[in-house]
Amino acid sequence: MANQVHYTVAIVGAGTAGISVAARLARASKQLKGNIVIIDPASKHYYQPLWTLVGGGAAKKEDSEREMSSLIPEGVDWMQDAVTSFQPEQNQLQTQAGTTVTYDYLVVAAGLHIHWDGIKGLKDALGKDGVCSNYSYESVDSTWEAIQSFKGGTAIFTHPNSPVKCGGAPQKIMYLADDYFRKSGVRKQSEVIFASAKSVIFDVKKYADTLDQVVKRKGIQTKYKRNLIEVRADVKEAVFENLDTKEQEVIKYDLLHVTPIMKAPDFLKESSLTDQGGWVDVDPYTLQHKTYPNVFGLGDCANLPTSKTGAAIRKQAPVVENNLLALMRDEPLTAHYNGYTSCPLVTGYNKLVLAEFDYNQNPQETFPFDQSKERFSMYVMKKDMLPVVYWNGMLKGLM
Amino acid sequence: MNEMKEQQKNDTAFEGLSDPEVQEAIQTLIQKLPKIKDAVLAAEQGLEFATSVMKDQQSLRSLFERAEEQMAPFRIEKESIVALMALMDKMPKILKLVSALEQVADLAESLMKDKESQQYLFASVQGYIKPVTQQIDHAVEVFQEAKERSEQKQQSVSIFDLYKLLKDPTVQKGLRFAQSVVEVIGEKQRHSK
Repeated sequence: MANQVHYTVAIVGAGTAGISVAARLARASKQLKGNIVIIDPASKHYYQPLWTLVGGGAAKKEDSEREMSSLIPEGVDWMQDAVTSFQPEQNQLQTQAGTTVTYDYLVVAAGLHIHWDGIKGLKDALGKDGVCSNYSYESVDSTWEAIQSFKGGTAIFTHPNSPVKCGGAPQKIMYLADDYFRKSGVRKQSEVIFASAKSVIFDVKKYADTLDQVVKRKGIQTKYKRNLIEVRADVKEAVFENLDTKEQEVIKYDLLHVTPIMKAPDFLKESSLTDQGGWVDVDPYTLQHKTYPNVFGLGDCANLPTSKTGAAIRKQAPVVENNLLALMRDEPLTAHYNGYTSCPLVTGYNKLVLAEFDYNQNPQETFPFDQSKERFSMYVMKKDMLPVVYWNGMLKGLM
Repeated sequence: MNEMKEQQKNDTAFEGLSDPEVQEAIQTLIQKLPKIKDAVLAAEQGLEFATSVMKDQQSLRSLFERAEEQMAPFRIEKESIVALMALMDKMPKILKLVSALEQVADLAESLMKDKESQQYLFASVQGYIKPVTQQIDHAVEVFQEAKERSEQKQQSVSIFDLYKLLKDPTVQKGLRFAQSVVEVIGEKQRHSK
């Protein structure tokens, strides 16, 4: 017989967004304690921003992993199960184990899906003969191995033609690799290429200006509007499509760091909660669902026109918390998200540009100095302070 | 006319009594009658006691006097009431501050319990100071070894040893530095004259 449970608030996804919102709600309302459930099948939780540094040999990947059970906030239940379908009209959802969860309010924070099969030949080539990627816990070591064993030749770093988590990450690892190649004495006999599906190095001009200088200083060749479509591992060739001319371009590689295609999770796409692209269709300011008022969406799975980062979630979570509580009290939704996001652009070992901006791509800088300059202090903040703030501040609903 | 109305009333009452729900309610009431009787008697006793106390002026006076004595240290003056009102006025701001303090305290508490983050921070600090401590350790090691060797050596330093020493790159570097210092001092002195 099918199992049925009811919660006041059901949260789909125990990533950064799901746990942050759960912790905030449990802190804000004692009545909600014991009436919130987080549904997620994963047994581990990862602090993914650290993977750039892990791939560059500047951090240990073990520091990015924690047991999920240790992070579920007090007063919140965790259902270790996967959601298979939603019926928002009936305020209910189904899980893989056959449980029907009914709810008064739903928060969708399901993250995004890495589509390893989206690039032909990538899945089989990954982790072997110089093909690497920072985008999973299993493959992140392969990046550091590939960088260390690189003896010169062509090193290619890609950026796909899809939304990605942290828009700057595909190039951060390239800057670290370039630094390491200089240290190990192979840079002179190497060519470093940044092949990006985008048309500029970065969307916000203030930071793009700095990054253009960094690329120039490092002698990195940029190839824009190039989308990686195939990896021919047997002959060490990367096949790109020119997004303007639709012509194919084949480049030989000795090291290939791939940023895979990312898309909305399939179980979301099949629901009536999403837009045409498969992303949860929410109001960009209140984060309330456009059709179902008792549903909120945030994080990577939401169709917000901003860069998908943990820093963005840090600003979205309080908005969802306040607006959901306001809705419970029949009050107007006054909390607004302005599209704030942040990208700590590592430009080398001990150097970082801290980009912060909003929906209008206007800088929204935190510190009282020009953050478009490369700084050691900002590198220390990313590497040493932010992980601690993440585990003890964000996931506890404090920051 | 009046009789008809009376008859209608009675009919309605009988109709009500034929309702199964009403019948069930009456049955429940009858079952609970003993408990209802006890409750009414208890209330009656309580009422009698209260009336008796109210009449007993002496006991009442003594009771109020004792209460006044006990409350004396906490007597609320007008000043206290004004302060309380002022405090109430500041409550929203105080709440904000207390909430912020609570967050800081919770963050500190979380960090105190989080051994993994403590180790991470400790390793980070070690990573930054390691190059410096390594250099210091190296310098101390060189100094110690040189000291031990010099203490063991008994023979005098010959002119040939000095000549060999002068050709040593480290000595040359030191001498060049000394030479430059002498040059700079000389130039500065000439400028100041």
